[in-house]
Amino acid sequence: MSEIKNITAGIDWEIPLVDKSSGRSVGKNKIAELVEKAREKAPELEIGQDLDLIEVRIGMARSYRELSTNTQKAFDISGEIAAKMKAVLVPMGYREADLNPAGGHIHFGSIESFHQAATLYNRLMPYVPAFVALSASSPSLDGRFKDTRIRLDACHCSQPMSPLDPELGRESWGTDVCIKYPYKATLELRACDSQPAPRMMADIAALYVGVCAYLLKTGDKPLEPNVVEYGLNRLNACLDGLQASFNLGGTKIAAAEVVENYLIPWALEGLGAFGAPEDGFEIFKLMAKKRICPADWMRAIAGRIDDPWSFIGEMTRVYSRGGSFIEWLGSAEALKTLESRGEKALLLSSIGLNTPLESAHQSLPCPRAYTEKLLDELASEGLLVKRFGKKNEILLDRADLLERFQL
Amino acid sequence: MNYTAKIESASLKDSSGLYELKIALIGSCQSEKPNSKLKGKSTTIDRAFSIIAPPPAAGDLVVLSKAESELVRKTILAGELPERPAVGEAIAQVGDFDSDSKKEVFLANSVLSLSVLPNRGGLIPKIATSKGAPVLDEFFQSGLRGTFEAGIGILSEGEFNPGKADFKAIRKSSGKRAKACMKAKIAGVAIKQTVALTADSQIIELDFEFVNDDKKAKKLDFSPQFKMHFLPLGEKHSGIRAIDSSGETHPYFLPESVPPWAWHEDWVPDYGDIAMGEASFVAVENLEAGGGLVFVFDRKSVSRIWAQSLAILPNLRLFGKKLTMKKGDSAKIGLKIVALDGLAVSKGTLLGWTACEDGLLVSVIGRHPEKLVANVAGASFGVALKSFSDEIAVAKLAKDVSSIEIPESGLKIEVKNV
Repeated sequence: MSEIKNITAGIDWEIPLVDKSSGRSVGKNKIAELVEKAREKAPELEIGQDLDLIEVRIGMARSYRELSTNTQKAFDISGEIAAKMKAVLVPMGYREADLNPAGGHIHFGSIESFHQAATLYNRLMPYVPAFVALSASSPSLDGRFKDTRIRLDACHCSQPMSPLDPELGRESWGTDVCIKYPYKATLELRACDSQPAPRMMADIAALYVGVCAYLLKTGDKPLEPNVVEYGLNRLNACLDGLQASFNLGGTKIAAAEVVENYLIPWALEGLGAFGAPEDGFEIFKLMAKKRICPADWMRAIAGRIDDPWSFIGEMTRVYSRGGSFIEWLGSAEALKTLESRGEKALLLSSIGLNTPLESAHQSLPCPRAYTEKLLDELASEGLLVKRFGKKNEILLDRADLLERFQL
Repeated sequence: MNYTAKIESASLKDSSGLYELKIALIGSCQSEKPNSKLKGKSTTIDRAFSIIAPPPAAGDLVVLSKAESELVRKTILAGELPERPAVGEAIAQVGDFDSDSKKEVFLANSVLSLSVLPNRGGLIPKIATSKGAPVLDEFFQSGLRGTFEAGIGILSEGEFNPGKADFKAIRKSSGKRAKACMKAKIAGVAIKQTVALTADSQIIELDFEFVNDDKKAKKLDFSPQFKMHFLPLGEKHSGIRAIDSSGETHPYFLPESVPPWAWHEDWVPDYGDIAMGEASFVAVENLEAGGGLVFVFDRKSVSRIWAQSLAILPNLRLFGKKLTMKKGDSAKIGLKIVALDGLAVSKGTLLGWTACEDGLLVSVIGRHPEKLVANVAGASFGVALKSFSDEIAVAKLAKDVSSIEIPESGLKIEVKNV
């Protein structure tokens, strides 16, 4: 592995901009207006727009200080302009009301070769679900998922990874980690949700950058990427956030322990001259200790609200009144680690009658062949029936339902 | 419709975080002008706030849920509400089936009627069957090329005007004949069996009783029972709530953890009666009047959202070559589906249409609705656009529009005044 010479960081922090008087998005035109004004004020930050979201950016940071200062500055500038437009920045990972995902994308640089990028990509893979668990801020209103955004693959913008051959592979876009090299000198983590505060966005960026730097320079034998483990861990992170249980290298471990025992120490070592938060990622340590992610705060705010518009309305109110996840975290009761869900149960629960094979694949972010092996096993156990539809597409029926309806 | 309101005052009612709010309505999440009669009006509601959220204060914005909005609307407009239109007021003609298609004939026996909601974009099929869920399943599967499973429920009492197909279904289940002028009333919904909602036991059976309520049909002296199955499907359990006339919601089917996305009935406000949540798609009729017919379509990923929002289109395909829609004295507009094959919806889709006084309203959903509408209608038609959100737009087509085409989808609809 080649150690990185120049550690740099960047963020694309997507944030919904909500009209204070209506609770809905201000729309693309107003976001464009905000961006124009923000760029006049601070052109170096390159604040931008991504469809119906504002994208808080900071240019390229060469130190933690620059990263945190500029993230705060970019957020403040955007917030001030938004306030004049009677709008509020509402950072959360998924606006269920209009199905809009918002990510907190992080760029690690400066990549010096494709081989370096691809190797790091593979090394990162086992730990990506921990970033998902830590950053989850997109609770589903039905209470099932803490990271709805990743559960939905961020509308094809953050899909499950597959190992990459450093010698023969090419970069592609739209996975949890994306190689931007050679057109940019970065490796982008797209799996994090939009963070609820500038401090957290800056810190999770530093955490990722530090982990990348560590994985590049460590001489330890890295954990081999296991696509099945990664897929199941990712799904469990979506379900339970920092309460999730993972399997890492065949060993059962809590997602929170991965953050606490691996990511944070690695990042602190890897960041080196780039610099780390003075408190050594204290917020993340507390989150890991309490098994709490931002989605838990949002879910607590939602309370009895079960309407997506009311929810975004309430989050808008909370943010406009200065509500803070970090403040709440201190007094929040700790949660417990939950058992991971069985892959067959998860798979079977997505199957009814005439269920297309594709639906089963979508319910389990694992390699295609692995999912189909599980389906075959379920079929051989008599729990489902696999058959062809009218266009020779594969359809699945749950055996108990077939029996129930005497088909 | 979710109304937005400004809090004028808030007083804590109990330690659980329940507040009495005096609010003034200012708009809605989904459109600029929800209802001129309501804007600026004040009323009070009870609303629970999380104890970790800042307490509500004068000047804060609240977005009311649909149930709250309905309650507020009824409170403010008490005495001013127009009479509820009969369910069957705008019934599309069902029965002009393609006789050589077994599927359509088969489904005809299952479909009670097909409604066009006045001023709205949806077609709502009502389904009852003596064959139970497999038929429903077949129906839904057929409707969207096998992309979703579904459940169905008739939720509460209410008027019910059967159509031609209703009588086929009634006749089939009871062996008795009935005249097509009969009116009936859904007398009640009896839950025969409720099974705990787990991944392995997901079946709830309901019996519905139809009671003859029309003197012209005295001969119909029976109360056929239609057994419905509701199939919440595993991981993405579908659930239904009914909203009664007071605006209260009732999780009829699922005693625990009714997924709220299962009844986001106003996802497309004003003209849609179609809703989407994280993984669901619900079409609801007449919730406004309390209860109604609810469909829950289970969806597996957001990538299918667009496809599944198209439930109305396959319905058209399935249920007839021609649908005549009318509203009041406006011109009748006939629609003829020319082609539906290759309906691709990744870039957006036609959500529905309905007749209006001077033309045809077409609702479109997609990432860039303005472009989609342009695709749908074409500038040459003199379309007036209205965007309800960044992903939904409505085009108003002039009377003389001859066709609508969505290039990406292969869909072409011929429109002619009749």
